[in-house]
Amino acid sequence: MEKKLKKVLSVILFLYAVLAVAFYFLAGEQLKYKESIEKITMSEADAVTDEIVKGMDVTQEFVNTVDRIESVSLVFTKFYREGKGNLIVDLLDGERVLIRQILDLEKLAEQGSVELTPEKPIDDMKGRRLTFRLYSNAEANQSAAAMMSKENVLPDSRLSINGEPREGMLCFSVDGTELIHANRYYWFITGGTGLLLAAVLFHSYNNYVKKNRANYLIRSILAVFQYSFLISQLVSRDFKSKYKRSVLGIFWSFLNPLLTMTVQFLVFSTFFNANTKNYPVYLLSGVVCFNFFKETTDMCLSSISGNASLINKVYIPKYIFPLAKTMSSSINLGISLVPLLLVSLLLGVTLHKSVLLMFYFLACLVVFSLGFGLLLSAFMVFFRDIQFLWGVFIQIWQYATPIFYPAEIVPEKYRFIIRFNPLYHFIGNLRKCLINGISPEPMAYIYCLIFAVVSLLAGLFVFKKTQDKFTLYL
Amino acid sequence: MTKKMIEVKDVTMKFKMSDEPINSLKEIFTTALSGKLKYNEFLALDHVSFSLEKGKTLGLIGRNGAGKSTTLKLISGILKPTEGTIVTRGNIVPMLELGAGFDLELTGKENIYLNGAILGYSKEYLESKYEEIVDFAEIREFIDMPIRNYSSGMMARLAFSIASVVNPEILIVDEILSVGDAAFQEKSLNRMKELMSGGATVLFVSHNLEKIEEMCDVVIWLERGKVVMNGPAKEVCKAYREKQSIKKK
Repeated sequence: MEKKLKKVLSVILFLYAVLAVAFYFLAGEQLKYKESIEKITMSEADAVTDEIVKGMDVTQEFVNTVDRIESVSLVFTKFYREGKGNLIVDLLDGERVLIRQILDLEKLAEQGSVELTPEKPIDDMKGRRLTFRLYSNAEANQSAAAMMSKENVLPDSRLSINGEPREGMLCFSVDGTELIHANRYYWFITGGTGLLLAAVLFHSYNNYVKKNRANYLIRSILAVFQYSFLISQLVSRDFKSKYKRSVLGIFWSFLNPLLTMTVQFLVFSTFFNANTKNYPVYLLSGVVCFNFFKETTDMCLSSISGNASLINKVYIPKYIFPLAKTMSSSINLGISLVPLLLVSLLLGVTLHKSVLLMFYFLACLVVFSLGFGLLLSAFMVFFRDIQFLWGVFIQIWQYATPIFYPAEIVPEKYRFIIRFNPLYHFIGNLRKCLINGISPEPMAYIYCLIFAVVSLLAGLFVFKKTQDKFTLYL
Repeated sequence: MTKKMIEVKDVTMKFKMSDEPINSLKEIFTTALSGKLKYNEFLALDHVSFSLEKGKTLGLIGRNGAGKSTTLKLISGILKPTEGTIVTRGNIVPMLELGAGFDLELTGKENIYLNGAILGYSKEYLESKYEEIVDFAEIREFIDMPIRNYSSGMMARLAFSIASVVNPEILIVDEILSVGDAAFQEKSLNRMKELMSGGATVLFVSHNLEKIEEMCDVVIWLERGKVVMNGPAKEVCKAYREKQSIKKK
């Protein structure tokens, strides 16, 4: 037993090290940057500058708030004329030219925004005083004017034409990311956590071997040894009896999410297809995750009360039942990942290495659902009404989670609902890994971990507090 | 001094009983609001103490509701006592209700593994004893059939075979010897005796006084959660019979 324990503990430590290293490479650039929250957005256009002709000079000074500039945009109007010649846009940092773009006036779109991108992102720009300079070589009536706002929206910005100050400001936006340098602390943090973990494991093991005192950790591991056979039996029972008399059997685990997705796709594609990247994959990933949560909580809900006859006759640790249910639906989740990945490939999503990071969020989702399952199974013993309330509640939750609609359509004042919705975080980050092919920002991992751990601890706490009373109410 | 396998010290078990079972939130609110939410405390066991030495067989007798099954459930760990402590040494096999956890959709074979796992057997152990279980239950030709097609006798035989295949240190039995036909009853009784002679400590509940007298060393007579008498089987059974006959008159 001690040998086995030693092996398990070293495997835990080894896995931690492997995952920590793998994560560093999988997360890549996203450890260094996050989406800038202080972008400069385009102000509303309600005026224009004078037509920018040869010899004229429009400058717009402003204080930049974006750390790493990836693109800037301006809007022009040609007054619906043909246009001939060039319009030159410079973004200047003092004397230094950051971006210079020569626009062909003939090709310039009427009132379309013109995006200027530097060859590579410009770093360390936050707080700098930058200047747009617009000038042209075009004759009168052949050039364009920049759209502007009458009011000066940004503080400390100055518009001047031919050196003379003017009221208002140009309509422009600055887009970019923020440097967070999580990579600089990464090894420090993961290394520290690793050492702490090693110390805890070593201490627990020593205590167990020398003083024969098993702490919580050791006891859980020993319980896994003892009850793994029972759990595997219960899980295989779930599968066998679920599909026993159906013709397609286990194929339903593939088909179910696909069919749900197809139905929802047919219904909602007209609304959301256009403005969502890879809508079917977006939809399917949401369906797979939410279905898992729904299935797990539904099954856990009745896992104690449904096994009343067993619990009243034989002593089994009661947490085994919700745990086994969660494990069988996790296997189901694993199976339904196959159609998800197949559909992604078929629809031309290029799978990046970040797909592997998806499993982190899936793991968080599983732990989160287990916590809820424990909580619900305990409540269910005392209040049978929970099963009906939960049915309604999960429906509300489903609509409050961006599964078939894009998160962006939620009005700003209701955003807090999805911001505090753990499922949105799990699903949203998973989509980022799968569809966008990039890792979410580092904080997203921490948020998801917190959601999962809090749910699990709450579930365990309530379950432990109440489990001795279960038999009295069953 | 022989080793005490079971020690029950001053155990009290209280159940909260409401007149009607309150199982839903709505009912709790409505009854609480109308001020009717009162629990009657039901004292299933009242300061019961006893202990049992290794290899001895203890019988529990008493009328319905005397606390016999509660005692068994407390010892097998299904219930936790309200007060007092229970110490058990060694692995316990509770034969409280046979076939608990059978899944009707699964085959006999699958149920042997499932039920065995529930009773706490290891995989290796079940694999080594599998043949023995099937033979004892006499259901070899039906073993790959879903047990929903089994007769109740077949199911009971299978259940008894799984439960009795181990050599437990503590065996807890609640009225299960009336399983199957006469031949199988005989066989199962012999198996029980075999287990007892193998050194198992046995707790036994039955309403059949003859069987109790035949099989037990010590008998405890419970009445309304209290121990009325605790002593050698013959004496306790005799006293119990007298009390019953007085009542009948």
